[in-house]
Amino acid sequence: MGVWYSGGRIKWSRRAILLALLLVIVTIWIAPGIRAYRGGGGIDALIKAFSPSVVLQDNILFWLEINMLHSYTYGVIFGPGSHTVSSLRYLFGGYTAYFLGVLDEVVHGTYIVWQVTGVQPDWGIHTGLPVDYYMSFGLAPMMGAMLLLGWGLKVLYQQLALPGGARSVARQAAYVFLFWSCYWLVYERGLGLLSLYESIAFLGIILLASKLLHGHKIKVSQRIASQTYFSH
Amino acid sequence: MNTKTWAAFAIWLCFLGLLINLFAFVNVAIPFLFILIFVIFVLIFIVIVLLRRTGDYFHPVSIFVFSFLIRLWLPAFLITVGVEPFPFLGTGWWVGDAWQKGLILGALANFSLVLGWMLLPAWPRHRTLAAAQHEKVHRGGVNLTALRMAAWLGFITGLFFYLFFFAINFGFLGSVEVLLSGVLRGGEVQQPGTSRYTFLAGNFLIWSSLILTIIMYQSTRSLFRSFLPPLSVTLLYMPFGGVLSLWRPYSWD
Repeated sequence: MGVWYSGGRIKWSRRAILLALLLVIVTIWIAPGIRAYRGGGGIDALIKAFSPSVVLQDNILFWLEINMLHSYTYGVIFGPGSHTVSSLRYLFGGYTAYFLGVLDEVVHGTYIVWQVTGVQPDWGIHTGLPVDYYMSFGLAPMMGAMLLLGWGLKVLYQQLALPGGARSVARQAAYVFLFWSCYWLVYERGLGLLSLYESIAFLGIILLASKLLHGHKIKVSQRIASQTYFSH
Repeated sequence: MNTKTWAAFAIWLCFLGLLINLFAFVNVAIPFLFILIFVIFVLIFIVIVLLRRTGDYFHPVSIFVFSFLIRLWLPAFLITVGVEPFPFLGTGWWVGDAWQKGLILGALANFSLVLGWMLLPAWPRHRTLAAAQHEKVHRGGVNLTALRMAAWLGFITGLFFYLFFFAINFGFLGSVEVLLSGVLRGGEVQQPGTSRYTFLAGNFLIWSSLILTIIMYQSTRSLFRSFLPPLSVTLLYMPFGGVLSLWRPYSWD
């Protein structure tokens, strides 16, 4: 996305389209193998999973990793007011639990798994803002939050991503990350705003470092310039 | 019809979609197949209107809508035509009609997002294309050398934390063994408290590779060379768990 904006618009040559298609196919092709490798099967399982029969038969990728309908279904089943967490966690996300002293508080995805299986798990499904807010506050607040998010996206887009704005590397990088944080918020974890803050912090560190390096170069060049001046 | 008329029509359709889904959500009997078809029609229409206005295929709304269609609408469609999902948590969540309301909940969220985009005014100022072009022309020179150097420093710092994590947990030979065995997922085999190094490594590597990609593309216009830093980070993240860790930094999770 960042590259798209940095170039104004990429000219879609045949080579670029083929490259993009190849990337998508390879990604889908190796996904089952990666899961087998991470499941403790190691490199052997990764290589075996390259077999076309494994790839074509594997529909777990779609139903467990891509599909989100089950999260929304459970959200509807449990209904508004069924589960809520400390209010600050909606604004600041997971790590806030440490400062609030509510580390044992479960988030919505974990709550769903807990209720469905009857055993308190140490993991949870990804739910996203619509499900989290619906389960916590109800339908109207959820729609209000999404309305505000739509407006926020518009502001980000117009301030950071339109041509000109996208020419600035920092703006463009910030746009990619802020956009992704919004996406993550909606489609993965409704309490995940902290990743947005930490992303800004790390971008800030790199930009600050660049300013320091830039300043160092200016000082050097000024010294050289002054030496040159006096030598004449 | 001109662009504004199309936009007004899209807003009207969006309101209609919102109302129909609201009625269906509060148990007004509306055929689910009608909702399924109407939702996809309205959302695709809105995306086309927005793409015509901006010419931007990565328009934020289009990405959200596309994701909705793949992650919610498509599963609902498959269930409607009789495809049985992979069992999850030992329950048939697709039995009954709660999944239909699940789709409607998602549609309401998306219609709200689209209305937020199309109806609320930009703030703090409307950044027009002309203003953006003016800024581009009059922008002062930016020293990309310093930024590139800072990004490389960030990349090296991230790499250092990555290697440090493996060194303090497994040593050199142990790390190779762990990498080959694929047992790192979930962090069970690592020492408690060391995941902070992967946090630092991940953020430094992702941020720096993103900046390096943008700078490289601006100077070389080579997609392959530009994407080498994020590709290398993706490979580095292959052993770790989490749904999207592998696709870092594409996913920026």
